[in-house]
Amino acid sequence: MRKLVKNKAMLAGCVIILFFVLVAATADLFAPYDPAALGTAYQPPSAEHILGTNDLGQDIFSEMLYGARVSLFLGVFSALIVTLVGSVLALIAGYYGGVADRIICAVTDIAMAVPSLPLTLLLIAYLKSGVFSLVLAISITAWTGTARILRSRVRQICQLPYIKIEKTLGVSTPVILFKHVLPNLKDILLTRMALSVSGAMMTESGLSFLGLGTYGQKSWGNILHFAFFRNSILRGQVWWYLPPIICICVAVMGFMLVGYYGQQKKD
Amino acid sequence: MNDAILEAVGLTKRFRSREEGKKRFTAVDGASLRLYPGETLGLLGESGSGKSTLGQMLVGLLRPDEGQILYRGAPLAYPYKGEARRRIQILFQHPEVSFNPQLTLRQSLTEPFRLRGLACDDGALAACIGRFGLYPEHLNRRPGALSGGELQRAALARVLVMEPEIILLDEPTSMLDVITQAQIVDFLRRYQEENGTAYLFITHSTSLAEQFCHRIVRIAEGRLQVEGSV
Repeated sequence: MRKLVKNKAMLAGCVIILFFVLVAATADLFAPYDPAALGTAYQPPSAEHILGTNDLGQDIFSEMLYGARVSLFLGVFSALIVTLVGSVLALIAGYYGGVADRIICAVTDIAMAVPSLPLTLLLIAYLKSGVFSLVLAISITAWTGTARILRSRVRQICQLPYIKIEKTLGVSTPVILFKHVLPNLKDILLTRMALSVSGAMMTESGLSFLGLGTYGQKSWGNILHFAFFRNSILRGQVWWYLPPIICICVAVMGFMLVGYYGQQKKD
Repeated sequence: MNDAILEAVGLTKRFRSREEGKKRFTAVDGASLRLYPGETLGLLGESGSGKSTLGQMLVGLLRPDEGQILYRGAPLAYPYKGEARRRIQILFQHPEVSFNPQLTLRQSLTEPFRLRGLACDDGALAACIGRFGLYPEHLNRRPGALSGGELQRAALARVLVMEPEIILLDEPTSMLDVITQAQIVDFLRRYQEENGTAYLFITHSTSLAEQFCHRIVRIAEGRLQVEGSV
């Protein structure tokens, strides 16, 4: 813990993530308005509306607070799925080797060869609209990097004498994997998880910006979509398009800083 | 001599080659040997000669492509299970990677006790490492906080919890200082005299093999060459 606090990048990353998590968790308490409630359109920032209002007169500050929920949930949930799928495949491929390894590597190579954005768009077009469809579409294309990197590390660890000793002692495979291999992947897992969250948040923002995101639910990408397509840039309504851009960038940076710490530790 | 406790018959192991145009290379080629109770058999060879591969096949860490391994006259199937698994153990060359770096010595030592269904309280663990000159305070340390000599002694203590009949010693003293080397060799000799444990001693040092082993088998390019008493 002391090491963690001493590392400024990690500390900054944690503070940023904690801030957004608190914002998302307490949106109900601090949002001055219902983000869906209509009012006077295009109001500039004032004491009444801290970040002004959009084309429907909805309070942008309240939208931002509620948007943090969807953006963070999507990012974290997608990263969890990506890390889980990547870890399971990496453990199987790296530990057992042989045919299992060759099959998993071949599937990973094929999945990597498919361009991720068109596939995500295709999946979104076919799946029912909603947060979970978006999570699924993002996760299906994002697990390959995690699986490949973790698999290499698992193979390295499995060649180490202490794993061979556990095998000769007669320790069961699940115990070897979960007690001796997995804990030694924690730095890479932290890095991959943090980078997956930031990647998923960027993908969600991009998809929402294109109008393919969460239908009817506020997310930062969604706010940006409406700001852009209602010409807020041409109208000079900085209060509308800038807050989601800043929030996306800062949140992604927070997760990347945490990932950078994991990378440093691994090296 | 008594019947062999472990016997290898025509063991062969091939690996995929990294060389272009060569699909597989043979690391061990038709190796046959016998290990008798209470003896130390030296497996002598240069780096890359196949001695560690042969050793790892014998302890059940690698599946042979051809050949058979017999334990007390009965063929062993890979992976080893039951009595054979418990009785055939290994001690590696690098003590610093012989323990999980995330676990304390106490946590690592608990495993063999648990596997054997033995009580592993502080007293049992302290007694386990005590005969190797280690103290109870060592139990709370992680491998990074122990010296190479301390780790190798702890590794030997862990192996002996299983009460093995055969121990594969894969250059176990090569990374240690002279005093710790002598302590470990001396302990292994005494343990063998008391328990009749058989050792398969892998080394590239002829002088060490001649000092420590009853018989020596030489291996070069995967083939066993000479067998004879020292």
